[in-house]
Amino acid sequence: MLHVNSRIGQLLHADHLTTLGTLQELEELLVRQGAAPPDLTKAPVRAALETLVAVVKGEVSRHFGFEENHLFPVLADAGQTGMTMLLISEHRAILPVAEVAGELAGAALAAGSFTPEDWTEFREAGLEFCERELFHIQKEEMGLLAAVAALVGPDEDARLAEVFEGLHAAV
Amino acid sequence: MLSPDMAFGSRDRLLPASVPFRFFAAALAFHLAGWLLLALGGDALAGSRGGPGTAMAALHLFTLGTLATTAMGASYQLLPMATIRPVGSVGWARASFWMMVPGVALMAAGLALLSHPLAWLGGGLTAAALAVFAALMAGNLRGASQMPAVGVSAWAALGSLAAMAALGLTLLADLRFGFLPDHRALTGVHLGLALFGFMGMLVAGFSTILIPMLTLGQAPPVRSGLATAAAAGVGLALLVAGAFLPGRLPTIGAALAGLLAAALHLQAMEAVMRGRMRKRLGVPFLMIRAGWAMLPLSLIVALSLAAGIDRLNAPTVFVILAVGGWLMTFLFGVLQRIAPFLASVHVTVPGRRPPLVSSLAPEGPVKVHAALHLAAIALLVLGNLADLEWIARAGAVAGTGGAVAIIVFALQVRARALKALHSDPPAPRSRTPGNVACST
Repeated sequence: MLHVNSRIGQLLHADHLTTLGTLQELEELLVRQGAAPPDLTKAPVRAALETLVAVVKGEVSRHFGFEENHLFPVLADAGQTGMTMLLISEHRAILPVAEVAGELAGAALAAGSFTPEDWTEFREAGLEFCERELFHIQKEEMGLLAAVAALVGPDEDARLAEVFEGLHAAV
Repeated sequence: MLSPDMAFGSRDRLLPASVPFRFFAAALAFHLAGWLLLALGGDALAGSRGGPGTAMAALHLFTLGTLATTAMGASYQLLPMATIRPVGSVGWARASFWMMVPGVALMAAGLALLSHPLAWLGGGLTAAALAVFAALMAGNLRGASQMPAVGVSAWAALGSLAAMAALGLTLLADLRFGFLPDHRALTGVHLGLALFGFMGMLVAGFSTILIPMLTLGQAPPVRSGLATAAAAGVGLALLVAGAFLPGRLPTIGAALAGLLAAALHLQAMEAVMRGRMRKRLGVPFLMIRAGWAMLPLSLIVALSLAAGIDRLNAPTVFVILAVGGWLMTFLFGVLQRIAPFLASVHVTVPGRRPPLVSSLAPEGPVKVHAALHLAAIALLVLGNLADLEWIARAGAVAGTGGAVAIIVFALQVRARALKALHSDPPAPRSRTPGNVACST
């Protein structure tokens, strides 16, 4: 990850770190468990799934929403239409699998266990979510944050940071 | 042509897919040609001492054809993404390809067939291609004030490129007219500028962007990149001075400064790897790590040569470790990771789910290539240390197999990307249909 000077760049980067931590835990759980559903009485497994539900509900959808509604228009005005279209396409692919994984994790936590069918579906969606989101974050860390640093002026930076923090506070 | 270019704005930094991928395709063809020439050519591989012939032609197919051609394609694609400035002219980028490919082919043919006119024509075309590349990159770098370490490394690489190309043409002329007082010493400078100046500085600079991106790690501190560039710059200056000054001290100093630069660079890369968020990195990073390991090894052999210790075919071992061991191993590790990544970007069309990168990257050919490539380097080194031609020749055969495997990998990535581009869009995965909008 590049060193980021802008406030909004730093806030987005912090969000990325939170999401990456969750994805890392999720990926390790999915790879470790294989086809066998995990024991949800184990605290670390429950914690990993609870974090996933929270991240999908909060971080991912709010992060994407902020980018599409507030940040990307600024970058598109500066000529970065190709990059913003690419990232929006990826959002459209990531969010559905993230929501499927989040819903299945939430339902399993409420029921106390995964059914074998739900675990299979959760594992597929979870692995796809991990891969898509990891590559998406790679692109944002290299391309988006560099574009923010180069193209967003100090006043716009402060305004965007305020909007972003307002969205966080509203949750 | 993979890209639905109309999906992206005209001022976008993403080049048409055909630009970077044509360079990668040519590099893979030159790579195979180089190994075939080593495997089937008339020159001895154990204890080769340079001079025109099939071994020298193969070396240029690897350095100019594989390393420099890949560096051009990757730089055209990646530098604008990092500097937020588009390539000055896509047309000139394409033109540099059409000068580079016939140039390298003619030059290699001239060296292999001992034909001065062919070698000169090829060398001239290659130098022109590299001049266009340098001009386009220089234009892009002028706006890269945000990345001082990358900028300094890239400028040093372009300076080395200019000196290396001028010296290369001079050496070609000297083969015909014999006017240089010490052809061998200047050949060493030409090789050092090409490997550690042009390619080495480019690798050092881009690694500070690419390795953190691929591993999701923290970029190294700017001062670390500047220190690496400074040590390497001193080493390169001493290398050039060594060709004109008496005694061994300048060249010994050059190797020591190179070792210091390598240590600083590898320390920075190790810090990135330790702090990375992505833990499972696969075969490509085994290649990248193997490449890193062979950088200091090559410089230790260079130091022994600078000190006058020329045993166990050390000059050839040095070239194998630096070109095949360090640069080609590192470069193919990176290429195995970024080719599917770039392909997925280029086949992403608004309104359709982008393909998973893992679905574009076949694992089998990557593993075969890694095994054969590393075996090739080990056998070539062993064959030279033992002075046994059959072992070195077996290394060239293994390298040829590896070159075929990496071409299979590239063809499969291309086929899968085209299939993803032209397949019907799959329904979005969702348990609650229609719920795909982002909340605010």
